Amino acid sequence: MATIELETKSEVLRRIDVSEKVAGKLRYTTDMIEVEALYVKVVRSAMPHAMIESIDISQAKETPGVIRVITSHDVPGENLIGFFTRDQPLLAEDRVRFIGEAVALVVAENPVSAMTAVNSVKISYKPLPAILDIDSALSPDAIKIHEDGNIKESFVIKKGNVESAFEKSDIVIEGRYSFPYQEHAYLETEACLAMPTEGGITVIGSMQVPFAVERAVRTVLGNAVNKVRVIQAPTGGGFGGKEDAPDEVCAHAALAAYLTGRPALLAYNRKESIIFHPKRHPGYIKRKLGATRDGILTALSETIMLDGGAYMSLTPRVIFQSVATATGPYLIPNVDIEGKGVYTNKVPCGAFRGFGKPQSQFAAELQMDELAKELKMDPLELRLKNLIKEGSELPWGQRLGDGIGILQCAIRVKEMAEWEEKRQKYGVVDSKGIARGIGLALAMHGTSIGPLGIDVGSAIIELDENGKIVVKNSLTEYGQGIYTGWIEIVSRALNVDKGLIEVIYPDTSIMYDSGPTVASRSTAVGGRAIYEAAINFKSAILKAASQMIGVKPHRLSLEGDSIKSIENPNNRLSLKDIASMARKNGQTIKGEAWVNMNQGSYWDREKGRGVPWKSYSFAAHVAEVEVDINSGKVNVVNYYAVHDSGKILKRSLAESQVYGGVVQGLGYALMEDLHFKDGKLLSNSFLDYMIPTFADTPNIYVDFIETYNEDGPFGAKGLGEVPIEPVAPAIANAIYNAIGKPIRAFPFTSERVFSALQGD
Amino acid sequence: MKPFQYLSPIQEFEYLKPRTLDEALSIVSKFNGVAKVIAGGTDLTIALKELLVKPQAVVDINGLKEIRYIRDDGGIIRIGALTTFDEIYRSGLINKYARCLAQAAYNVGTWQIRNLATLGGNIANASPAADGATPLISLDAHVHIKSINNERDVPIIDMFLGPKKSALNSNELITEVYFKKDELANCGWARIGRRNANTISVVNVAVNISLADGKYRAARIGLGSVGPTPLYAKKASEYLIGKEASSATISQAAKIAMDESNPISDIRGTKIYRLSMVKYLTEKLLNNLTYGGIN
Repeated sequence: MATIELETKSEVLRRIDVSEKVAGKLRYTTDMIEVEALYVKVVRSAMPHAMIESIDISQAKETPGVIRVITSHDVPGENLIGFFTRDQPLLAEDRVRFIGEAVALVVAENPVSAMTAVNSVKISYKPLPAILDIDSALSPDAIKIHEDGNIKESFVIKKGNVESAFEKSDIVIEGRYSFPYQEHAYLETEACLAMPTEGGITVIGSMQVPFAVERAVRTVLGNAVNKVRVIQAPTGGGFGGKEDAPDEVCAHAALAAYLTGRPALLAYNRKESIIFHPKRHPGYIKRKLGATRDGILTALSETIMLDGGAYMSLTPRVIFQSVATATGPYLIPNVDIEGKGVYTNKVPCGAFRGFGKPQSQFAAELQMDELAKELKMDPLELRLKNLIKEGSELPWGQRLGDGIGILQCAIRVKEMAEWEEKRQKYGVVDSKGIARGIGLALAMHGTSIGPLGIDVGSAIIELDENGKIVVKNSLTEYGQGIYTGWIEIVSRALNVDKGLIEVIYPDTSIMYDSGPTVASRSTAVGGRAIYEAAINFKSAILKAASQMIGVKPHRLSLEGDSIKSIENPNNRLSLKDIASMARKNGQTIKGEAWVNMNQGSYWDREKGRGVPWKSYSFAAHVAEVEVDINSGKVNVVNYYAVHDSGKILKRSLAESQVYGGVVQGLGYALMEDLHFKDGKLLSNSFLDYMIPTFADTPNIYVDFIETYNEDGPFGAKGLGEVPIEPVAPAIANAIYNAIGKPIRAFPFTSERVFSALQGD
Repeated sequence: MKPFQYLSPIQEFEYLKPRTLDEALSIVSKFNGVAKVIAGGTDLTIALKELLVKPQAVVDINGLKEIRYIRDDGGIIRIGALTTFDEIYRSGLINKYARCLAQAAYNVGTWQIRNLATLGGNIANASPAADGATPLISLDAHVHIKSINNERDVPIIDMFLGPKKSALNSNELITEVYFKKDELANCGWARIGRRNANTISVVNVAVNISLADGKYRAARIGLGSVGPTPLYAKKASEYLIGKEASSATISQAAKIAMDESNPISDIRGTKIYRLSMVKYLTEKLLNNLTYGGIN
């Protein structure tokens, strides 16, 4: 692929979507007020685990303003949803498995009627024992939440012989590490507008994966409708939370629209959103790490347990990623890693930026610092001794090729953070009771989905009749700024003005399925498909222009807003002219492409070997903290992040991804968690679910090491997820440095740190 | 149709906006408990949206400019009930004579909330965690309350009867909060929160002292989020009065304050942590106010 000059650091960030958003003009799903829609509200289970004996909707039906009350009996197709495994009823039939599970829908003329009717649906339950944590789920006499038992999925990776390696190790560190839930807390809560059409349904909503929504709507409506069209509305944040949750929301809205024959709007307030949508998995890791006296890692034995909640959601893939990066970016000759996801009677857990890695990296990176302390070695030095590099063999047998920038990231972050000086100085308490600390963590993250799923991308680029270059790709913009990135790619590939390029919102009726907008793949895979479609588009437009101008295609040049003869630049046609001539001729000017990222990757489950990802992104982060030893309050004062995500297409956008990831990781590390009582989620609003404000945000310094990725557009790798992954362990290690002892569970709330200081 | 409202619909009610205090008092008297008074609305609006209250009428008192002021009334500082936290935080008078109140005001919610939320509303809502309550306790403030044919003055501590339960009757309005101006006094406020801004206090403490000849001439300590209501740490306060200032005295007073508090464990913090923090914050504030320094 072509290489081109990189954007300079001074270039001003100019996202194409920014002015509409800042001015409040962009219309999200609930702003589409010209549609006279009915209001849908969901009746939810009040029990964590129970058989449903009866559902009495008689009073709800009579509520003034109510049009219809819907239960599972009204579903014309299959009453099941689920991203990979359809294991969750769209509306509960005879059993509920968590508080908040959908049991019925109320459709009303106005929202107050809908809310009133929701409260008058009477559900009679016969309670079952509720399983509220991992260990209870695994107990031999535990009730089975699903027919197959309480283990959702497990993965194993083994290499060498850990037992004999531990025996030969000079030092062995062993510990149990635990981690909390995390809620996505996107600005826009879930919303979907469904409209009946002749023989079909059109759905507009907030989502990450339009084709998954289309499949979900087809499944639940079955043969009742022929045409399902899904359009992504502007979407205010996702972070993985809108990977599968919109399937349920849109299927509910579509069902209401189908049964009433009228447009139906389903939108959640914050409480409803927090109660139902899948979260980041909490759980624990038991980890044993061996090393020689010189600090060479010898063996790792690890068990990862993730609490997956009541339904499957994305758990199998999440647990795979936890297992696959359990070693961190280090060479360990003997490993025995097992990961399990279990069912409990709580909100399901699924996709969230980082996807299983923030959990396993926390354990891996904190334990590295514990080992360093035991060895009386600098934690960075210990890491550098064991770091993977070009040509290294990963635990699953994959040999790494080029483009491994982790060493350069670590060295750069060490300089930026003045690591050695601060590490010397910190770790003492000053006269005001403040202890300073500095900590480091590394991370690696495979680009895109890998061999467990279909990993193809597609794009269509065409000239519309006004001479605009229209880009169609079903991957979604939900805050990343991906359209700005794609326009950059098309403009570079075609050498045309950015102002002539337009990206349109996903619509399943006019696009191919480019796969889910997840796994840091929008630039690396979506961008690659767009690049290839642009190259095909270029051939098509040069060929068409050749006939119009009367010059052979290879003697023509596309530049700015027109095509001209290389020999005689005055012999030219603007794209606008070409478009109108094509219109008159009845000609289509278009380029398409599919890219298959599954090529060259595979996974052998039995042996735990394969090539799960073809390229890896890396990061090295350093956090500097101040701990008030009298209250346990942790303030992160400075933060340094260096990333290798291949070639950076838009530096300002890439920096934004890192800032966002760091702040989201800081919330995860310091304050975010969900609290339950008897299975009921208590932290169901922003009053009690804390996310960081600017007052909690440190100075963040970002830099990039730019390796080259053969598969990505212009050498790019994925960047979306990796910035969140080293944050919690970097902060954990900084606290460890400050107070002299490791805390193996987070969030590091003032109270938790205070307790640790008291010696609990 | 307004989908915006859909996410948190507001039920129908009669909306009344009196222009004078007398008019407002006659309206609340007439509705006799089935009306809700709205000032800043930062608590009431949420309750309305969640259908937690279903008033027949909402009485908007934001037009009553006569109860929105901060003034020095010769020895007494008077704050009109409709004064917002932003106005309190910006007031030179409050910063000079009641710095603890200015500090607390600055930490209430966000800028948007401080622009709306009023001191009177904060008292009427009677949250055990109310940031405005502890400074007023430490200042020994009084609340002036009016109804259509009566008025009364209530010590601030007697306003709080239980969680979200105040001594205000449904036919009454708070019109003013006032306290004595003390040139020798020095007060401070501090809290433990779960983040650095816009958070409900896990513990908040206000301390007001005045020193003469190295001895505590006066001392009042207010404690928040450590009982069913904001608390006056009576024993700790009285312990200090007349005593020579010393680290040992301060430490002992902080311990007594801790013993006087009665927190619960909830998702914001455990009882044991809250107790430790009462001691820590009280000690820190007393040290800072006695010996100078930052708080």
